[in-house]
Amino acid sequence: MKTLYPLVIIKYKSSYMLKKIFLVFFIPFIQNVSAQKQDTCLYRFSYLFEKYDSLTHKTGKDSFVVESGYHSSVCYSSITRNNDTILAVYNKKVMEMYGDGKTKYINLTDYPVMAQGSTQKVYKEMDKNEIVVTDKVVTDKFFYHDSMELFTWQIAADTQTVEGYSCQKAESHFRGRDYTAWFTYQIPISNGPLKFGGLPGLICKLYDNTKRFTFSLISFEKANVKDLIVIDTTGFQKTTRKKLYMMRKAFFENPMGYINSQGNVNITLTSGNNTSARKYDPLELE
Amino acid sequence: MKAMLLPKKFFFFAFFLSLTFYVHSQTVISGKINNDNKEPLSSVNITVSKKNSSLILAYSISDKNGYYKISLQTKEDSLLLSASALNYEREEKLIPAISSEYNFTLSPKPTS
Repeated sequence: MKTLYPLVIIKYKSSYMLKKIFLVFFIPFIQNVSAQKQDTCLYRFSYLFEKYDSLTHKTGKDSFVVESGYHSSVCYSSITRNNDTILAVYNKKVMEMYGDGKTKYINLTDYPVMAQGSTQKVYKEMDKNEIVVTDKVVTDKFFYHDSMELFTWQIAADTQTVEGYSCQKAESHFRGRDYTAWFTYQIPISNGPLKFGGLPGLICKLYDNTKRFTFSLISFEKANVKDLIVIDTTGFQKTTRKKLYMMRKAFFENPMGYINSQGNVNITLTSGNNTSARKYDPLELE
Repeated sequence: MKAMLLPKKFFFFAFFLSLTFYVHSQTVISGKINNDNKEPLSSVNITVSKKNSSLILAYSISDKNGYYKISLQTKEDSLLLSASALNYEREEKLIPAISSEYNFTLSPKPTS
């Protein structure tokens, strides 16, 4: 995955002028359509996500932040958010180094090695009962709609204390996996990490029945009054969940093949073999 | 002979009908949630639990028009019906375990 960062630059640099022209032309149009919606962020909570890889016997980690407002919420990976901030700085640096905006070859070692986080953002619109997911495959940005009624929770009588909250057990099947959630009535927010939610309280712990995917609540706090939740799909291509699934799968199983077939960029490896195929094993199997 | 068959069929039907009524002795609790200004409140958690327990037996989340509906089967005589939402005071009602309608008016929590 480390090799993928420069792609952003390559595409950006090669079509730099084009993008400028594009922007000038389309700004009035975008403002008319306005794919933006705003809400005040009231609470912010975060989950540690652990994914056990049965092939490598390694546990991958990510951190998901949920910002919750009056009628909407957003969930994103804090690793990806931090990376984006760092990358913006490096992109600027690299631009200055190569200067003219025409350079098509970037040295990978100009970039830092960083941990990878999930690229998806999950927006929930409670008033519309709708989920909007934005995601990225290499440099292409996509979004799709999903329903909020994805779970049929069966509440059990088991209780447990998680992070100081009294929790009760609930179970549901969701797109190919069976999940156990521990939710607390002490926080009356019907939400959880990613698409998970719909219980009479916040999900504090969540795992699938093989315990390979685990979400654990690690923080819950009142948000700063000025914080906003902005649902913005400007610049994202509309797609369907199934189509995005196929694209991500194709990319995971043959990264080089996928990138070269897209025609935007060409990658030549000078050393290392960071592009070996991996098994595509997402949360949602169907 | 044909005249004899009809009542027989009817009794069969009546027997199975009474059986289904017996099996599905479900309690349905429904109603509406408003705020102090009589505006509907959505995303309110409405839960049913035993009298002296926080253990949730069944639940519903109010829709955008403030309505909720809970169906459950229980042996209890009375139940605790609670409505809770962020930034609102929690409301509780001790109710008999029979199908009925209960509305709630929630007041905002004093900001700390």
